[in-house]
Amino acid sequence: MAFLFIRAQQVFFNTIQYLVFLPVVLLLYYVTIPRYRWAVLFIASCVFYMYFIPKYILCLFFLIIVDYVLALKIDAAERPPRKKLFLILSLVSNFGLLFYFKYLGFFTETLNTVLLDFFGKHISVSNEVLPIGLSFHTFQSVSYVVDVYKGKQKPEKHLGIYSTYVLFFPQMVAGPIERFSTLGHELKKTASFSFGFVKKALPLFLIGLFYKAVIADNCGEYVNQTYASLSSQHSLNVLIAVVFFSIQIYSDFFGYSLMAQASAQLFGIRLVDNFAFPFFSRNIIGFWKKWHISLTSWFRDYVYIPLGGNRGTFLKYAFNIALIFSLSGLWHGAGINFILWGFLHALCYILTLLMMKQLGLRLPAILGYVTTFILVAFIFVFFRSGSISESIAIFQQILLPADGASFLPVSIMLCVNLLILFFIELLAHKQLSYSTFLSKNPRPANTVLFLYLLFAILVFSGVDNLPFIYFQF
Amino acid sequence: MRYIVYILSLAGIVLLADQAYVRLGLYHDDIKTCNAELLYQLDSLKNTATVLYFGESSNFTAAGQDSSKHSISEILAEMHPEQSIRGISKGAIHASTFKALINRIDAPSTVKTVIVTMNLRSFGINWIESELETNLSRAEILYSNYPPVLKKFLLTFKAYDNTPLFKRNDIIRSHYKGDKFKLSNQEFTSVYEWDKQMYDKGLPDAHGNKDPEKTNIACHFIKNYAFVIDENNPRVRDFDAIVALCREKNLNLIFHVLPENHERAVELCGTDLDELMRQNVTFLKNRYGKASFFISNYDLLPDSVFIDREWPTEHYSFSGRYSVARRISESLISQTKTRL
Repeated sequence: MAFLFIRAQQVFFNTIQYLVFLPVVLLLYYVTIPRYRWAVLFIASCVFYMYFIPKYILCLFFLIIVDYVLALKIDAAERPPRKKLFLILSLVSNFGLLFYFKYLGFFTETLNTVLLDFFGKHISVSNEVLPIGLSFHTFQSVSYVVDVYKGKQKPEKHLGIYSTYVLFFPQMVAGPIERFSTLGHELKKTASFSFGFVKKALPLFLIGLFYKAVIADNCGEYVNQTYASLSSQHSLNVLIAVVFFSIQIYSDFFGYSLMAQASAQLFGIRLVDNFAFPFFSRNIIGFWKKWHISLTSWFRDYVYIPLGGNRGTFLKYAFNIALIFSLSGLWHGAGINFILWGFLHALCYILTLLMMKQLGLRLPAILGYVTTFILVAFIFVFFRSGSISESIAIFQQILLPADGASFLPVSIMLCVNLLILFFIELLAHKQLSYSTFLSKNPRPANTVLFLYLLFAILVFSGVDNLPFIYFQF
Repeated sequence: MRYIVYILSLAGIVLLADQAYVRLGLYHDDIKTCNAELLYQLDSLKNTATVLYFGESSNFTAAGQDSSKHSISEILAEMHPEQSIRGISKGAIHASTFKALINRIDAPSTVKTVIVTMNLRSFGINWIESELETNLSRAEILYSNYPPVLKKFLLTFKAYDNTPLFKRNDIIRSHYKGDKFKLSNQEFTSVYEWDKQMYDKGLPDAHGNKDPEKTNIACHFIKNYAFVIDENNPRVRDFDAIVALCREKNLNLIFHVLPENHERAVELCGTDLDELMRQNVTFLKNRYGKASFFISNYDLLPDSVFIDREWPTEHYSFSGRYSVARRISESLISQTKTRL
């Protein structure tokens, strides 16, 4: 039983530590009197976070205090310029920290290329490790302060509840990005333990784990193997890797989101759906309504609509779309490749709009699904590569095969599981979420599904140590 | 009644999964993916060999111009045709891996004696927190005696030390600063101070200028050997466990401390480093001398037989491997006389 005493450096959903951590927190939560249950979640969240790099909790505490105080100040201020000043202070604190950790390195590297060319000098590059989930909780905190500024949200006076809203461990590191109006309300509910929670949560956790361990990790092994020696790969391998990466990132992130929802559900807390079967979209517009919903809606509410949204000329509308998609790319990572990834999505989005509005063109469902998938998969090449030149190399490798390259076979069992997943999604996608799908499914069908998922996780899961992709953001 | 059906269904699925995992060849695939092929080697040898030699790359690494590429265990086997001596070795493995493998030797087995390599460098933080550690730790799950489906479960849920590399580097740095030692001739009390001074000042070349390559090697020697082994060292805990396992399994145990390039250590870093290394050997001798047949080959070999010149290793040319084998052979003979 030595595995129970291994050194735990990260407590993620697919680790043995989490299988111990979660029940312990649950037990403590329900034995604590309802008034103080937030404290259990708060402490558990701190522990969860500090397993990674303990000192970074101080950054979080700093932001929590700043936003908590400034939100109260915004609410108390009578003159709009003062309200605005407090808002700006909050935005500077939040985005300043994000910039320092995530973008300063990229910014100084870019600046260095100019400085070296013209002055022969350079600035030393910051190489701080990114605190996990920084982009997520920054956006979550910003949404709260902006909502208070706009008068949509009353400031939270209970520091403990507000802190728990920012730190809530199931969604702190990779979302969904929750609004205070929903998660804050959920945290204040003090539901008694119900087996109903477990009945709802366990299937979701199992499905999430299937996505991550069976689909994402196995696809990831193939992708990593192919990309590690790209120049000697058969073009078919690269093509499969391109397709597999889009399946990997989807399964990885959707799997994470489902496990986050399941974990929260055990505390009687509902998190928003972050995905709604995006690969069953007829076009890229539909795709973005179903992919990473909490981030898309954040950009819609806090950037796109304040910019004017779809009002004004088509050119202005298109500019707004291009801007928010490029920003979304930048949110994912500090690199031109991420910005290009966002921009290409914007381009497809605008072209689809033009096709639909000007030409009245709509693709039949199946053709639409296939086209959307192919588009998304190829644009993801920019996301996966470390640079634009690497992305170009991938496309070149597909079009200009390497001499004597051998075909890297795909595991039959992975194909079988992909097919099974496809059928599950085909049945579930009209319900838009697994919770709804499972609640409408007959019980024997659910039982068969769960037994298969359990079997698949025990037999087919990948063994490579692949962390959740979105933790790096 | 409903819950009984649930539990039985779950048990059925687990049993089915166990069978499917092995029969579909996925267990074998995982062994390959996790580089845990030593499992097959051990399972085939534990019923044929009488002596098993556990080692890392020092066992089999040979120089290009070697007259014979035979490993230490092979030379030893040639010296003792009356015994069936076989080597189980793989680069970078250490006491924790040896422990997991020895734990698999269950009765009935033909193995009577195990020879376990003690590599001084493996007690240092550089090796303890090496980037290879995550994979080695993962492979140990497969060496365990658990049913295959449980191993798969543990692999899926990362029940091994999967500390990220940046954290390992942080840990190494903090040990460089925090682990203290006392030297006879110099005032440094930590790797950090010693290494910094060596790096800043440097070692001179023939013309008295700073020799970057020589300085670099000296820094590597300091980082890899300047530490004090105590009972809290994870390797010591693993070797303790090996002693206990051998007692439990009634196996004769021979520990042998690998030769280190003490001449080069003195040449590059002065006698202090050599003293520190000797102190560590003494610690090991005091701790394991009674519980096992303990051989110290620390200063057995001259600098000339060490193959790698840019990095401190325990890789020897044929004459070096032969000398090590001969010393173990003598101990094996003496042990046979006293114990068997």
